[in-house]
Amino acid sequence: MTGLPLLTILLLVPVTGLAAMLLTPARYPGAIRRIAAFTGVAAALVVAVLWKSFDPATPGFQFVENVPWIPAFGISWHNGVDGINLPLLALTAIVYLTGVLVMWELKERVKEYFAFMTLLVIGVFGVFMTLDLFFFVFYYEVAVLPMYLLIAIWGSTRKEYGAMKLTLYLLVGTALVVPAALALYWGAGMGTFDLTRLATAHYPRPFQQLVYPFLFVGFGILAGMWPLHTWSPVGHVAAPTAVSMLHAGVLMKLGAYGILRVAMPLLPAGAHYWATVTATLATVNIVYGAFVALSQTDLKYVIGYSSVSHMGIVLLGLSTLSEAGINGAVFQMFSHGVMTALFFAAVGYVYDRLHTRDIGKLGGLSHTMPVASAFFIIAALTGAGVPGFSSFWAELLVFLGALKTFPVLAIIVIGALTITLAYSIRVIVLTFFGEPREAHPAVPDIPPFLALPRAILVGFLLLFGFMPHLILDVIRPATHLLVRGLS
Amino acid sequence: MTGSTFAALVAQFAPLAACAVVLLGLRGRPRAAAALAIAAMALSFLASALLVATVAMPGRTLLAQTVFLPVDQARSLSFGVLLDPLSTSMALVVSGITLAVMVYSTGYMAGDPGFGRYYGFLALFGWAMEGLVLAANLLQMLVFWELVGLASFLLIGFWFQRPAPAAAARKAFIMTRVGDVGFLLGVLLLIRALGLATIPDVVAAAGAAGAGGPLSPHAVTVIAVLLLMGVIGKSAQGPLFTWLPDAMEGPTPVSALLHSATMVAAGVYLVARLHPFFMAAPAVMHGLLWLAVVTALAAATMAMVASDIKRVLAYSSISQLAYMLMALAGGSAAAGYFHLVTHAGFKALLFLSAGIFIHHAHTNDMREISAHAPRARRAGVIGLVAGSAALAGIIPFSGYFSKEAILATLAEGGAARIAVALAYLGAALTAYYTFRMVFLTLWPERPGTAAAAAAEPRAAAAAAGHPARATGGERAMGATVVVLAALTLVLGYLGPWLAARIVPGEPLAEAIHPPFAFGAGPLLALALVAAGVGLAWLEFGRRGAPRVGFAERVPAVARFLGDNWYLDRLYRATVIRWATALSRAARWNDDTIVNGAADGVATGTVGGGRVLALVQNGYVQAYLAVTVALIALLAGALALSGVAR
Repeated sequence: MTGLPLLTILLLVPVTGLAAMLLTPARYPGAIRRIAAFTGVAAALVVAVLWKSFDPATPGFQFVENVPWIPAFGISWHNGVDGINLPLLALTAIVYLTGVLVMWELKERVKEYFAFMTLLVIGVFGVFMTLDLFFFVFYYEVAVLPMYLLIAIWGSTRKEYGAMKLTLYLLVGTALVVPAALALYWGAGMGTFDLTRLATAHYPRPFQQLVYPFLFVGFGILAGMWPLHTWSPVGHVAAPTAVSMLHAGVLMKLGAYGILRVAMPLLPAGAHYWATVTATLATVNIVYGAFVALSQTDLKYVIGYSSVSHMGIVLLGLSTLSEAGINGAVFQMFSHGVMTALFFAAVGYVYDRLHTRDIGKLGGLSHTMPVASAFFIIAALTGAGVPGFSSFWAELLVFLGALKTFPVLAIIVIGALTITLAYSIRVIVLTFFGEPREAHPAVPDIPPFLALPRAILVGFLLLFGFMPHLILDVIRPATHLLVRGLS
Repeated sequence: MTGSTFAALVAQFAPLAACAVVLLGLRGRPRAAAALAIAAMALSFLASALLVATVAMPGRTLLAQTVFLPVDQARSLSFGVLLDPLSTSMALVVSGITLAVMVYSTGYMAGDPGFGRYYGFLALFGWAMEGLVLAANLLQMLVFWELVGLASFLLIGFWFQRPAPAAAARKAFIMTRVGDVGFLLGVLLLIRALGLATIPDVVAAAGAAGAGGPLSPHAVTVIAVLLLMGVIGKSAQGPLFTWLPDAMEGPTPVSALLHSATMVAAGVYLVARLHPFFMAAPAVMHGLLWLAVVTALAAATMAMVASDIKRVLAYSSISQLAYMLMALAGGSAAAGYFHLVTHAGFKALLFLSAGIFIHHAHTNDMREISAHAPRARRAGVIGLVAGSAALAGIIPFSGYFSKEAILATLAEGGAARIAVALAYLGAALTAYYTFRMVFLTLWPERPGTAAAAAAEPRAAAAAAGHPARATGGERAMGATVVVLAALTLVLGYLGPWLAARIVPGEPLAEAIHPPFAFGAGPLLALALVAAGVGLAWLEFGRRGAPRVGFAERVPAVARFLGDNWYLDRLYRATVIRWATALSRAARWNDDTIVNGAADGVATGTVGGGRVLALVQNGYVQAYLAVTVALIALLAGALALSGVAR
């Protein structure tokens, strides 16, 4: 372990980048873009150093920084990584960097756009690294609020409606999480917000059973939990490309991460008590999301509902409370994040050039823009669970875990794979195969610079598709500790 | 790592490397793409040949695995290779056929704008199938099983701009996924029970079922059914066969590949691979036998009325795959696998020969091909005749020996009498529809008929338009066909060798007779084949033949048989319709009920706010008026109460 406070540095990278952007006059959009890209590269490098120096053999948190901040309330600047949040920090850096590159052609209010996007990323990094409940909730809000502006200003299709819906839903989530967090604080009676210490509090069983649903539902809204999921597809459709990428790729993971980091370790008895209910909800997510995706006509709605379905797999994995299932869930968070970022990046190019996402007006795109289409097709195949891409392994692990704990639900979910394949292939065939259904101006295939971020995402899908142990070796020790704490 | 393991890795990864390089860098350079893919596949072929020499010949078995995917602290999943006579000989068949198809395609696909991509996909297919064949455990098999499905999707839909191939690719992928769901579940159950579903472990667990092993006999039955779902989908059997005739929309060399050694062969190979496991579930095998008998006959009837040469061959594949499964279900892995090998050779040959005619005539219709001077394509004629003789089971072509082995297995293995009788009947039907195809394709329409009059100018145009000298690509096509045609005379003698090595000591192995041992069974089979060929000659071959088959005379019957026994209509009217309706209902529910409720809450809140906002409208007069009114009201109330008191 190095002596440098790497996590604080990781957080300071986007903070510095944000400051630099704000200090640059808006009449230099090129400079602002470059600052954003540089920030993304720097963040990715810091995460790479973290990943490189992370020692999977050492149990518990690494790179820990623990400085008291407001001792009177027990709030401290406490950061650390283990195998659960390290992949998520990596995911955030990847999606941020590629998101900046994807939006390179943005013309409208460039400065504000990249500033808000960077602010959002600061919040996400914060949530993923902090071990203090107070900061957790604080960063959570930091991550949520820029979303409203990003969608309402730069969005499309019913953007004000989508932005408001998203914000209200997420605030409902907060309204459930904050009282629960306070209950955890007072209930422990230790006068600390430190998550690692609260995990040793051993709350009484009725308390756990009462508080767990607040946290699960509150965080679950952000993870797209049925029936509180509709903000998510609507928000995706309204959001500009890179915001959709961050939104589905990273923001929805905050919810699942909250369950994993706060709800489950602090309230293990609650998690056990509610496991069947949450697993059933997750199954509904998977099956229902797939069915709704099957009859959508807007490409982004298809992806939005596929996210609902795939996040159900994460929630199911968590609900199994088994190592295999949680390993799969964490892997799926990463994998789905990369995959869905690729999805939105691919659709973004089509929409930018053809100004429509209506499947009924498209068709035959593989002929006119083969490379741009290949990106979407790869994302769709990943979503359909084709081996060779990372999601296959993640889902396999979840199924293995679920088959042991909830065999009936597992059989339903595995059966629903047919529907998953059906909606993926339907979109591929209708959009990229055949002939165009409406005349469109001739547009060139994607230029190399814009293909680069998408290619990076494909690279990660393939890397972990062919070598899943690279990521699972990191995840596994952490889930092992977590599951031991659960029982 | 031993030399054999290394060779196995080369056999798998050479095509993968070629696939990656071609798809990433050589899509715009067709010659380089084809050269690289062919070189990689040739390397794979050589490696497989080496494996056959070092592993299969001496009858050794080698298992090497390495940890691939940690599941949790205690368990992990592995990847590796299982080398034994079955897997290595199959690897040789796969790489050989794939190589042949690649060489042939240099001519067939010449000038196609997607030429480079085509070779990339072919290499992907080669990798997936080699991986499946050499897999050490069932998880690995599942991975490559799915990749084979992906490669088929990409190749069937290769001409993706045309609606028919796109639809066919979609149908093939989704329909096989229906079966694959069962396969996945079966594999997961095995992993759960055994930790790691290594193929020898699975086989051993079935042997120990009921005797304190990790699997109960009941579990073996359930898992066998689940795995067979995958087989039925992949090998186009029973209710899940209809994707295969549609898959003819792909380029003809792809059909040759799909129908011979890859894709459809995967299902049969799985059953052969796990044969002792399946035999531990006798009830399931009994069901499979009947399913196969029905499929074999049903597909044969469909082949009898098809007018598209590729569809005839597609139905014949379904039917022949059913024969292989019959043998496996009847208890003989050797006979089923023997037929798989000979069928791979002659079915690839038939498709590639048909491809020569299609390439020149630009049509799949047999009657139209016959108008384009088909007999001028020597290689095509040789290939079609040799392949048909093998398919029909005419001695001494390869198909005769393997089919005879299957029929003997059924007869001697104690299968139900009626099933055996139906299997023999199927052999006669096979001979009939095969030679119907030969006569319809190669015998031109007699002068004087309407069809011939229409065909005359076309034949002249075809003859005139054809260049005198064959191009290099066409020579490659011809050479491939001739080599495969020669193989139909060789592969038939492999039976006893395979039987001795694939399953040493299998009780039914003696059912595979030495090549020319004629008993009652072989003579009956030959007589039936002769009858089938004779009927085809009467109806299609002889001078003045009506060229309309007995099954085609009744239009209703012809429609029923030609339309996949109306199964597709049934699916469209039921499963597909229900799924679509369910999906629409789910979408409506989401838009209206779930989202509507949320919007209703929002609207209610806003509306409530509006009403309450009236109270604070900021007009002092209004506030004063309300105050005065309230005071007056209060005063009035007090006064009233005072009066009352």
